[in-house]
Amino acid sequence: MRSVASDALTRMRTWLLPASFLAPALIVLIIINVVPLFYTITTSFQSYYLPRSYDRGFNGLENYTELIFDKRFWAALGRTAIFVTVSLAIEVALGFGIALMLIRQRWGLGALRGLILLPIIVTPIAVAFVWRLLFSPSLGLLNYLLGYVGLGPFEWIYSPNQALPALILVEVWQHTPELVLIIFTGLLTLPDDLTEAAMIDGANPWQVFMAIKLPLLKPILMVGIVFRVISLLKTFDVFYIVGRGGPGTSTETLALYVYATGFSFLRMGYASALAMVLFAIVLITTILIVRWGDVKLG
Amino acid sequence: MASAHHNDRPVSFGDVLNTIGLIIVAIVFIMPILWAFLMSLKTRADALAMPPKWVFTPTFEHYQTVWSDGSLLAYTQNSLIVTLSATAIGLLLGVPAAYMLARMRFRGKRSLLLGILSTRMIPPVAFIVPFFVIFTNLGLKDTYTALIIVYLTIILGFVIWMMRSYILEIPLELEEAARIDGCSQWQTFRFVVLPLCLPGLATSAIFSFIYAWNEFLYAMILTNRHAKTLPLGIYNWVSYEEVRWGELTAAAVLAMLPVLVFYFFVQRALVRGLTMGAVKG
Repeated sequence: MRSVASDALTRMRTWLLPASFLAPALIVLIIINVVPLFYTITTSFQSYYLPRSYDRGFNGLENYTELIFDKRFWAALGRTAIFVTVSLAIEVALGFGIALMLIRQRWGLGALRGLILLPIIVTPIAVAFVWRLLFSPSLGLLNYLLGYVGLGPFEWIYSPNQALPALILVEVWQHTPELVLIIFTGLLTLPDDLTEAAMIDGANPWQVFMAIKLPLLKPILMVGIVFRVISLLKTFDVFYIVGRGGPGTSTETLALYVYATGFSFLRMGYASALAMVLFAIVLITTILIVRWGDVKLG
Repeated sequence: MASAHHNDRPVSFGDVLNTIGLIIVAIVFIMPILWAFLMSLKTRADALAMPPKWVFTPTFEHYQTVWSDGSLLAYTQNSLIVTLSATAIGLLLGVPAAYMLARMRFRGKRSLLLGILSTRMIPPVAFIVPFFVIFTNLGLKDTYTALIIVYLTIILGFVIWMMRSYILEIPLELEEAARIDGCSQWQTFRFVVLPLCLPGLATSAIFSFIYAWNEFLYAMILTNRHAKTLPLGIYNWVSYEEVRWGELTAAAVLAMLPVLVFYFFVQRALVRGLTMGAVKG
């Protein structure tokens, strides 16, 4: 009798602490993530025009069929795809180049690395304002500097054709350092003897890079790419602050279209459907990269 | 190609070339920030000069204008309250959970961990409709509470992942020794685990701070007067001041100042933060 009671007591003691450690965080996580997620899913099947909230009601798949025929949605989707792939390709290429230079550097490595990584943490609002000044056609630094090498003047964010490339430039400036850092860290962990052995066997630096370094770097590089793609698909701040998707809708990505639908046109139901499509794209892309790249998360 | 820690070879032409290349790269990455800083110190005449002036008499008039406009001071205060509260709550809830997720074995743990990681994949725009409607209905729109709750959607998952990766590196033997010496589970956590993962705590805190300090979208839809944060305050404030580059850049410099101060402490921890601890940095 006593032993059963004390058994129960010990069992409770061993469970009490783990439960009190885990439960609060998990409950909060579920409330703040799962509740809004289900709210968005539910709303995506509703007609909900904010000024006429009393008319809110289920309308089946209407929002989803609407977006199939919505040209603005497809245009935004295409723009998002271009923005993500072009930015990622440039960031990976530059990231490799700069990381390889850093790993070879003999003097002032800490200072150089410190300066190159700085853009990562700069407040988006500041980034957007500063680049708006740099892009100024008549008084901006960019046209002035490019003038020296006989280029331009460009209209940058003020031209429908040049605005998206200009925003890709900002994106590349701010986030290439993340890949530099990840690749640099990866390179630091590579064993030197392998490289040296290959060099002695007569391999040139390019062969060494392709045959030895790249395969060894792949795991860490893939993790970096997964997180970059997620972040690129979610990009909102700089696009919104620099040009609100303009001129016209020439830089309207899916994230911006969701925002405009919800908070300019006040169509909460349709905005929710668009948001679910964006979320599905992020999820599917991530799963595909994780599968294809054999990424080990955690 | 020898790496940085092999300094026994003689200096070559390539080393010089590499240094020059990296200096150019560093200038490119630092230029926009430096340019903003210089702009903020120029008089209106100097700012509009073409070709741009690199040498000039600095003025602090723009900082005075920005600062004496009391509203930005209020926004800074709002930002500090929201950012510090969200960071503190995130650590308070996240660190104990991370400890259990690192040490305990139970069914469904892997799915739980993946679930926590997947919160990172949710685009903030997917949550603006529910947060806007729910907080409006609860009468919590434009309050610190709303922003703190919303920022926890990002911070909490982040802290749990990051701290778990730090705790996993603490040798289990240390905790076992403490238990044998008669420490309770709580004492082991408090006096053995916590002190050993101080660097992780600092990293998590700084990353949470930077995220909440920089956040723009949620602040835009959830605040309008009382709880407006600094990024949004500057955004609205500058819309009127469009042509006044001096004030604009001074405000931008002030907004990034706290983050820049932290920057010199976090460099080493950056990789871990960027990959949410998925990679051993």
